[in-house]
Formats: sequence, structure tokens, C-alpha cells
Amino acid sequence: MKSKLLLRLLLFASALVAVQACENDPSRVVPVGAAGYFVVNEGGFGNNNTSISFFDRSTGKMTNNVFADKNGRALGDQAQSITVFDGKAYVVVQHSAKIEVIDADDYSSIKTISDGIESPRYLLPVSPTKAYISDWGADGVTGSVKVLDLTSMSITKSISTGKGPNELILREDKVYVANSGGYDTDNTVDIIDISTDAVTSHITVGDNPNSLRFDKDGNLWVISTGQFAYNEDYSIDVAHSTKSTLSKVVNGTEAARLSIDDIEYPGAAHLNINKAGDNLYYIFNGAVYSVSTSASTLPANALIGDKYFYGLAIDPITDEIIGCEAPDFSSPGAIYIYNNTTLSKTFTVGIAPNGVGFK
Amino acid sequence: MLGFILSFDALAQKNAADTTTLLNEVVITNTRLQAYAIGHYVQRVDSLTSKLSGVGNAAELFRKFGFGHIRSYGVGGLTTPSFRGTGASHTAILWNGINIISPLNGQSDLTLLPVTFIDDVQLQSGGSASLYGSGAIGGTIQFNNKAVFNQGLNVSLTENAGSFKTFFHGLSASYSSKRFITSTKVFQASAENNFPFLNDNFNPPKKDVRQHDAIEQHGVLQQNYFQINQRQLLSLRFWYQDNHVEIPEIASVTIPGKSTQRDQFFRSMIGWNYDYKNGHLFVQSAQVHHMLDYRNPNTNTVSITTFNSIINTFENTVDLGNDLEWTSGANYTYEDAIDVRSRNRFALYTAFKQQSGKWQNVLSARQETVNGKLTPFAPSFGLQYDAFKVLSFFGNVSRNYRIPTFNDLYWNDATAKGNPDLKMETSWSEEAGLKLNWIIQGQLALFSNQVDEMIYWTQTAGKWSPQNLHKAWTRGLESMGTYRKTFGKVSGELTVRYSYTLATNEDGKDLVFTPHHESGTTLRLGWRSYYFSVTNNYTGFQYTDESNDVLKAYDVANAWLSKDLSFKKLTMMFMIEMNNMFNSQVSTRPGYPLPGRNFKGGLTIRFNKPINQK
Repeated sequence: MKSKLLLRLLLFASALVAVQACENDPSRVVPVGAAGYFVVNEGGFGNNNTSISFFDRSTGKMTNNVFADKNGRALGDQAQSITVFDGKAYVVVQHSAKIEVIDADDYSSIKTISDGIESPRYLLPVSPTKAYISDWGADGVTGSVKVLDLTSMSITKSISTGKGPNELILREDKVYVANSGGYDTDNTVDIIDISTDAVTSHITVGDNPNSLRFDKDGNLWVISTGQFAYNEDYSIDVAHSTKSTLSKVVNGTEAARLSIDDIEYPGAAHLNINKAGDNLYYIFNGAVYSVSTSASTLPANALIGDKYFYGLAIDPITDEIIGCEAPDFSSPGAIYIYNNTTLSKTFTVGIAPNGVGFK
Repeated sequence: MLGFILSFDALAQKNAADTTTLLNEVVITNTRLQAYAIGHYVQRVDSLTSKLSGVGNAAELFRKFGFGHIRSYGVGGLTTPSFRGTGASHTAILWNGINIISPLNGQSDLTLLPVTFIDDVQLQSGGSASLYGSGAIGGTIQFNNKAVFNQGLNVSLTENAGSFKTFFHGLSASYSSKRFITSTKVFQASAENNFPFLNDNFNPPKKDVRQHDAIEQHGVLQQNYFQINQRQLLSLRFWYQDNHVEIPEIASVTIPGKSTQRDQFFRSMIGWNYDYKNGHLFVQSAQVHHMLDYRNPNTNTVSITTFNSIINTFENTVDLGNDLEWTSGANYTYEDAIDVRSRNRFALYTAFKQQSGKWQNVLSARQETVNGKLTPFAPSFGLQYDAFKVLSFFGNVSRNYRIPTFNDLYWNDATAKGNPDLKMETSWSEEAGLKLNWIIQGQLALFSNQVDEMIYWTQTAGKWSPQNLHKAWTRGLESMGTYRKTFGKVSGELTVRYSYTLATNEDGKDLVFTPHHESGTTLRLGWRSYYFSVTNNYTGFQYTDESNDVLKAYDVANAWLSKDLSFKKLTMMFMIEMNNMFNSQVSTRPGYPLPGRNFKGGLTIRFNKPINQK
């Protein structure tokens, strides 16, 4: 009995590490992403037209607008992320300040969680009964991580963090939170102990860290957009801006900080890693860059530079690169799937796709 | 001659207590261009409608009485017209002949126009840039004041209250003699708009109350008219208004919004009309100052934008004999967006109107320059053929244009940048229709409007920027008919409006927020000094974005009951209004609900001391 529980926990933890911020059902033998993935389409801010699409790996088909079509109501305004866990999908709808919990298989609405949430970004299950939600706060500055009880589906605690907490990642009994600055600026990654739900320490990295991944050796990589200063005419004031950076964190301290020489809005973001855990991918100025975990400098040339991507993911099953293109915030976006640099598939999705959540 | 005018006026006058005005001499004090709307579908808001909606703003007037399509962010929110499937910047909105569209954003919010400040509202569908200049692509709305001499002293007080802490206080005083009129109107309007609604953005749906949706407006309109002599009239108008609006969050957002907007404006104009033998001269100079202050404490945003415009018009109308009339004019407009740019616009326009037998036709054209750059040449031709006593045919074709706004050209911040190389939008607009003056009075028009070089904001390389991206083709049918009948002492009137609009872009995709079908049905009954009116407005489904999300079709019905009373020199009108009678759950756009069933009631007391007739 005890060993079974231990095995479950072990499976659970390793699955999380393998696919970082994503999400798995620990009782399931099939790996995360085997069934397919959800695409999060942000929609136009203030237009209440965010949506989710689902890519079914068995049929190879993308179905759009699955929430509204199933439930007969709009999903809300500006979904930021989706996380699948234990048969349910948690759609984090930032501007609507809510989490829509749906059945991951038939997309039917289970519950809307809105009490105690202000400006949520990402959700990460940390145990079979508990999840963390990063939250910018109503002012975009007062950051916190909300503790969600997965049984009662209610917020039980709020943990104060740096500004603009964004992506979270779990390793062993600690959660690492990238404080992206929100409407201000920050340069830290908070570390939360999941047994006490308290911040134990933080790591200083480049300005405005937004996403983070562990590599095969257990080192933490953090990408930061840098901080932008503007001239009076709103062109970027390069002298007073800071560069986008990629930090390597070894044993809780920053061991290396690689930087991108060009300063271009909106900076580097969407850090991802391959299946083997030895090659990182990120977006800078809309292009996809690839860098080995053993590299000491960042590449000058993009891996995929002919598109302008708004979101990025690496398929944990096939290692394919999934690029999300948002031509604007009023017309349908597209998903481009690459086998290394070769475009293999494209799908039209909802408005402004910003990322995917694997099922 | 203007063709069809929907009118309950006859009925209203018949029952009106106040029939003492014997010598009402109405003088046209602005441009004569309204008389050149030959070949167009024109609607005029009649006096009873204005009377019933007298405590509202133009947005409510159009929404509740079903005059064409409007796009709205709820009761207190930005409301703009959409004629024949075109956008907010494709309608010219004129106040006594001057365009009050903001040169910054190309829009004018109809909620900022109190109906009490306006004597005459005319809606003209289709393009008419030859007469009214930039932006008159989908249609034109004209808000006019009238000078009525010989009315004596009039003082009127209006007090109204309604659901959701809605209040209106209005006071007006005027003195009108044979040669002189002075009139002052003030108003103060406020509403909390904290109405309950079922919020279905949650599972389970929750009973919610709209928050942070209050409005407060106050303003004054001062008018003076002076008949210098039989031939000359001087007019002077001054309008000041201050408007505070709380901008609510969309309904799916649980945390109340904090954004606010203040619109403060001054509009003043001086005009001189001179009648000479076989002709008429009109000279007007107007000034507009408008300050828009938008704040969002959540994002530390404070955006204050101000523009000043000076609009000068010189217009001459001459009767050439043989039923030929010729109007020509020059307009010089200076627009200054404070801290952004300014521009000089100079336009020449000319129009010939000919009437021969059963035929009437108008040929007109406009050429404008903006900072020395020529706008597209805008000609127009319209005609009407009165084939039978009860049936006329009409049609027109016009070329129209819109110059980009200051925001389109020069906007600059961290995430968006204007495009100074934008081209002007152009359009061709055609229509053909008929007017009926039989048992049923009505009009019907088939229209087509092709807009080219449409300006569209899009995101490239992380920044928003406008481009001349799209073409739009809007076409369809607009129609209305009225049937009147009297049963004993009860006068009845039934009006039905219906429009079909198909608006698509160059890929054949539907344009957003343009319902295919819209209709309105109004029944009015008058008995002694009671009036009853009920209107049902149907708005068909509409696409809300380019991924084919839709807003479902909806119906909203409103009813009014009023009673006139007179006592010596006092006239009183009591009014109650029930809006959304059937308590429909309606959103004007996704996440912007309208209130359920709600009420308004009040009275207007008017004191009249006629002028002593010698």
C-alpha cells in the first residue's frame, strides 16, 4: 500500500519533470501528450472571445472552439494557459480572473473557479490534491501564487511572490516561479516549498524572467525578456534598456547568464526543451532559436525565422516544434508544426494562439 | 420634396393643447444642403418620438425607437452608428452643418448628444461626401437647431427618474419675438446602471450586478438669433458639456473595472444668412474644442487627448431660373490635435438641382485638399421620378472618401505606431428605390457600397500599426412603411422597418457586428390627450470576430405612455416608459449586457406667455 503510493508519487514527480510545467494524470501509463494537445487562443483583449482548440493525435485533426461549442457559452476574456491533470483541463482565463475546469475528454464544463483569483497566468499541479496558480494581482504588480484545493476546487491560500509571477515548474518538493515583472519589473525566481506553501528563497536572474525548464542534468534554465526603456518618440532607448538573457541555475544559484545582443521588443520568451533534455528553444523577435544546454553563447541566427510566432511548444512525444502565429488579435491564428526546420503541418486555430497544453 | 418623412405630427398636433402659436416662423439658419438629398433614403425623427425620448441621449433615441443599426458597449458605453454595414468612422455626424466627428479617432459617441438640445434629427443613408465631405460613406446624421420666431416667453422644467438610479433634470428658457430669439437650455443626467443580470460566464451561472458603469453628464446650450432686417439673420450658438463615464469590465471579469473617461467639449458657431434677389448667402464660423481624458488606475494609464477645430463655411445658393438651383461653397477647416499635429483642410463644393415636370435631379461634387494634398474627387448624381401620384422612383450614385484620423497617422506608444503613409479610403455608393404615398406610406431602397483602401489596425513585428488593408462590399435593402387609421376618437399608426445587409470583405467573409436582418415595429395610439407607443426591435445574429463567433439574435420591446395636461399658461406632460418589456437577456456585444425590464417616469412643465399681438 505504502509502496504503491510512493510509486505513484514518484511517477507523478518524474512525469512533471519530464514535461516541465505540463500536467499529467499519474494513474495513467500513457505519457503526457499521447492523446494530443489543447491550443490556447487568447482572443482580442476585451472582446470576450478567447477559445481553445484540440488537436487529436489519433485522427490528426484540429477541432476549434471546443469549449463554446460544447457548453453554449463563451469561454471568457484572454485565456493565458491550459493544464491537463487527472482527466480535467484547467483553462486559466486571465482577464476574466477565473479558471474554467472542464472534462478533458468531452470539454463539458465542471466548474468555474473565480473566488480569490485576480489575474491568473499559469496553473501547476503539485500533488494529487493541490495545484498552484501564478497571479499578477489586480494591479499587475502585487504578485502571488494561489493554492488551489483540487478536491473542493477552491482557493485555500495565497502566497506572496515577486511581481508578475508567470510560469511555474516543480522539481522534488519545490516549485520555481518566474517573476516576469507584471506591469512593472522584477528579476527573481521565487522558490516555494510545497509542503509548507511558503517562499523559502529566491534566485536573481536577468530582468523579467518569464519561463523556465529543467534540463537532463537537473539544472534550471530561465529566460528573461530584459527591461525596455523608451525614448520620447517611443522608439526603444537602447542605452537604458537591458538585454534578453538566458540564465543557467545550478543548485539554486545562477551559474551563467547568456545574453542576446540585439534589443528588440518584446524580448526573449517561451523557453522550451526537447525530450532528451539537452536542447533548449525560445522565441526572440518572433523567430525560433535553438541552443544546446552545453553552449556558452546564444546563437546569432534563428532556427526558424520566416514566421512571426506569438507562442511556442515542443511536442513531448515527437519532439516537433509547434509555433503559434497570431497575425493580429481579431482574425484566426495558425499553428505551424516543424520536424526540426521542415514544416510538416499547419492548422487554422482561434484568435491569437499563445501556447499549448498537452493531454 | 425631401421625400418621405415619417410623421405622427399631425396626430400629435390634433390633440395638442397648445395651439396658440399662430405665427411660428421657422427659419433655416444653416447650410441649405439638406435640400439636395434627392435620390436618397432619408428618415426624420418626428416630434412625438423626440418628445418621448426627450430625456435621453441620441444613443437611446436610436436604440429604443429602432432607427438603423448602432454598435454599443452597453447603456453608458460608447455608441456609434453603423449605416448599411459600414463602420463608426463611415458616418458623418453634423451639428448645424459642422462635422463633430473627432479628427483623432474618427468617431463621435451618440451618448454625448442630449435629445433636448436638438430640434430636428435627420438620418440619410448612403454616401454623400460631395455635400458633407470626409467620412460620409455609409450615411449622415444631421442634428439641427431651429430658429422659431414669435413664440413669446417659454420656460420648461423636466424632472425624470428611473431604474438603477437614473435621473434627468432639464431646464430651458427662451424668449422669441418677431426679430430676436434667445434660448438657454441646461441639463444634468446621471445613472448608476447597477442593474442585475444573470452572468452565464460562470458555472454555475451567477446572479450578478453590473458594476462601475455610472455616467454623469451636464451641459448648457445657448442660442441667439437676430433678424437684422428682412434679408439678414445672425445666429450665435454655444454648447458646453462635461461627461464622466465609468468604463465597466466585460461581464466575464469578476473584479470591477476602474477605468474612467471624461469628455469635455465646447462648441460655438456664428452664422450669417443673407437673402438677396434670387439667391441666398450663408457664412458660418465654428469652433470645437474637445478634451478626452481616459484613465486606468490598474495600469497607471493616463491618456489626455485634446483637439481644436475651426470650421469656416461660405455658401451661396442661387436660383438660375427654369427650375434650376445652384449651390456652391467653400469650406476651410483647421484641425489641431494638441501635441500631435495640425492640418489645414480646404474644400470646394458645388451642387445643381433641377426640377422639371416629374423629374428632379441633383448633380454635385467636392474637391478637398488636406495640407495641400488632394483628396479623391467626390462627385454624386441623384434623381427622383414621380411616376404616379402615389409612387416615385429614386436612385443615386456617388463617390466618397475618408481621410485618415490623427491616431491612424501619428499614434505613437510602446505597442502601437501610426502610419503617416496611409492612403485615404474611397468608396462608390449606389442605390435605387421607391417611395410610396398611398394607403401605406413608405420607402424601399436597394443599395450597394464598395469601400476600398479600408484602414485596419494590425500587428506586425510586435507593434500595432494601421494599413490600407481591406476592401468591403456592403449591399442590401432598407425599407419602411407606415399605415395610419382612425377608429372613432382613437388614432392609430403602425410602422414597420426592415433591413437586410450583407457586408463582406475581399475574401467574401462577413464583416463583424453587422447583422444580416434587422427590423423594428412601432404601434402608436392616441386618444384625447393620451399617447401610447410600443416598439419591438429585432436584431439578427451577427458575427463578433473573424473566427465566426456569433452574437445570437435578440428582440427588445419598449413601451411609452404619456398624458398631456394644460392649465392656463401651463402645459404638462406626464410620461412613463417601460424598457425591455419582456425582460430579455441581451448583450449588445459579447460580455456587455443590457439591463432587463426597467422603468422611467417623469414630467415636463412648460410655461408659455405668448407675445402680445398688436
